[in-house]
Amino acid sequence: MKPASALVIGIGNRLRGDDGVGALLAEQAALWAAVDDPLSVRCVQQLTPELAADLACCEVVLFIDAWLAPLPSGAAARPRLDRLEPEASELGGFHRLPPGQLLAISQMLYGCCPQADLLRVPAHALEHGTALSGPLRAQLPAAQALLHHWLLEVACSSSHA
Amino acid sequence: MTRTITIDPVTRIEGHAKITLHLDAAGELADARFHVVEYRGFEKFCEGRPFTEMAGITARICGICPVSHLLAAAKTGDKLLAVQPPPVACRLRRLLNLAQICQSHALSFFHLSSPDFLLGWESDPACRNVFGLMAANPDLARAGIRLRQFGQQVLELLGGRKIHAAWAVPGGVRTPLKEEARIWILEQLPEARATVELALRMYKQLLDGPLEQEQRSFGNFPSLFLSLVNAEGQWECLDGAIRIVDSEGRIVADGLSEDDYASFLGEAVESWSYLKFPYYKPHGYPNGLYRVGPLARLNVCSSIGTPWADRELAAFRARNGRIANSSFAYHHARLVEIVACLEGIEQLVSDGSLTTGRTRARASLNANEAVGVSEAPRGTLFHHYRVDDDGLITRVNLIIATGQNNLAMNRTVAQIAREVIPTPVAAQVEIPEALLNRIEAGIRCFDPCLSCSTHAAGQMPLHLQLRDVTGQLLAERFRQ
Repeated sequence: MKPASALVIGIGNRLRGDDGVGALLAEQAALWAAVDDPLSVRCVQQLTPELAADLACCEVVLFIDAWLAPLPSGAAARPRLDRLEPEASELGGFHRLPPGQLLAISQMLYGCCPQADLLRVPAHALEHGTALSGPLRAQLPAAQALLHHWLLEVACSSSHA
Repeated sequence: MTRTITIDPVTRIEGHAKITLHLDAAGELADARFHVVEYRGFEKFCEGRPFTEMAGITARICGICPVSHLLAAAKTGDKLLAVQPPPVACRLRRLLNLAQICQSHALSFFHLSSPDFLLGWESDPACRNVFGLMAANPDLARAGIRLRQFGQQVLELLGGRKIHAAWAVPGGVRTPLKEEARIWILEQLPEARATVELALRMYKQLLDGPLEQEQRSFGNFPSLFLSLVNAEGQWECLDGAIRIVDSEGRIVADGLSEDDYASFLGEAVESWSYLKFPYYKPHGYPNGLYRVGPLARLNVCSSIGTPWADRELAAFRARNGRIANSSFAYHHARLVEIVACLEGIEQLVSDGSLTTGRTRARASLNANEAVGVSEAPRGTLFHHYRVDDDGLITRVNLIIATGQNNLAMNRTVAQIAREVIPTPVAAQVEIPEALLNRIEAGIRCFDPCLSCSTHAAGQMPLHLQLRDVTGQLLAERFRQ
């Protein structure tokens, strides 16, 4: 089986309100991907070191996560798409990793890691339930536009390289 | 004048805690306390929920060993329904538990504890972690990750997801194993076996050399040991009866039923910790100290019942005696248990019957009270429910493995401190890095899951305090 050259990882818990937005968008990415594009999609509650092997097999990866943005009161956070670099430092446990550490593990254990981006969507309510909050729903089109841009400009260029 | 040393937080375990060391007027170590300082209250907020939800709710206590709660809750539910799950369901539950123990032990040994073994106690704490391990021994780190991935993948193949799969239910399990999944598991087993062989070879060399002192001095004291055994007295992870042995290998109690746990287990509380202190009632508190988990299971059982695991058990006993009293031997016991799990998994998936047949017995409520038990990676786990005539929970009691090791963890910390701290301790004292490292490692022998044991959340940083007889703080160190 040909390994996927592009990987999308949705992070979060679908039962905790806005925290489920990572999985929601990752599933949309799977629907939007062209049939012949080798795009792989994973939805996880948290990043674990086992994913490093998957990262080592692909050229580009997009992490999608809910984001509790530290902003001054009154300021409205917007979805962001940022480039990530490997980050080899330990922050305590080993079964809940930030994306940068997962990239570092991939680099250390497998000798390579993909170009990585992080799509962060501002979260407003993380209580129990599957519904997204109104403010997050209002931001979804902007987040979807960033995702679409990534699929077209990054994932597709990777698969056609 | 009594003084106290506090370690807060303790790292690379599940949950948040601190440690205090109390000195007496002569400057000698008088007491050690492992404080668990978080609380979640699952036992309370489960009240009013239907018992059928308990497997799904209690599994959320923990993200590392949710399967243990899932199985204990499902077994308690079997008794409330008064049904016997179909044989296929019993074997599938066993497969689930073996995979869970395998992945949890792999996490503990390869990711959480190996940095201590391989990088050395005196190494820079900033590097004495899993990233340091990856740099020092990438092959071992990669193999450990793959082994844990194997266990987690089996969980996902059975339950549909790696974490919090609500697959075991009162009366059985939701679905059989798919044939392609059975084949996949069989194909992966050789690599998993090779990983454990590598780890056992490496670890035995360490025990013969740099870890010899730790094996001798980390929590090495006589105690009782408690676990399930099968009808032949062999190693058991799901069914069977409870056996208790002492540090000489004498059987203190045998054939105990979980239904009667309250007659032989007491739960003491202390004002300084949310973690309860279970004890063996006939010996009283705190003399009824007992240990559970991998070390206890190996000490209690007559044999494991599979060839490679029995060879490793014999080697374990040749090294430690019939009863291993050192808490440091938990690490070695975990590796032996991974062998047992892999052989058990192989036996189960070699049987094609796991993919067909009935997997669930259905009934309505037939009892108002029940106790379920299973062997979690960290030890024996009890769930006790009372329900009203509508099946709504009126009372819950959970006795968690880490709680049952609470007295032993405190004694282990005290023993290590006595070994490492020169006494009498001066009034002005610097807390050495070596003390922090070794005390942390002493706690880590038990692989405590504080998320489970207090049903609490959070990571576990380390804070050490030294206090005098009046409670005055003499010294402290923090590590995030």
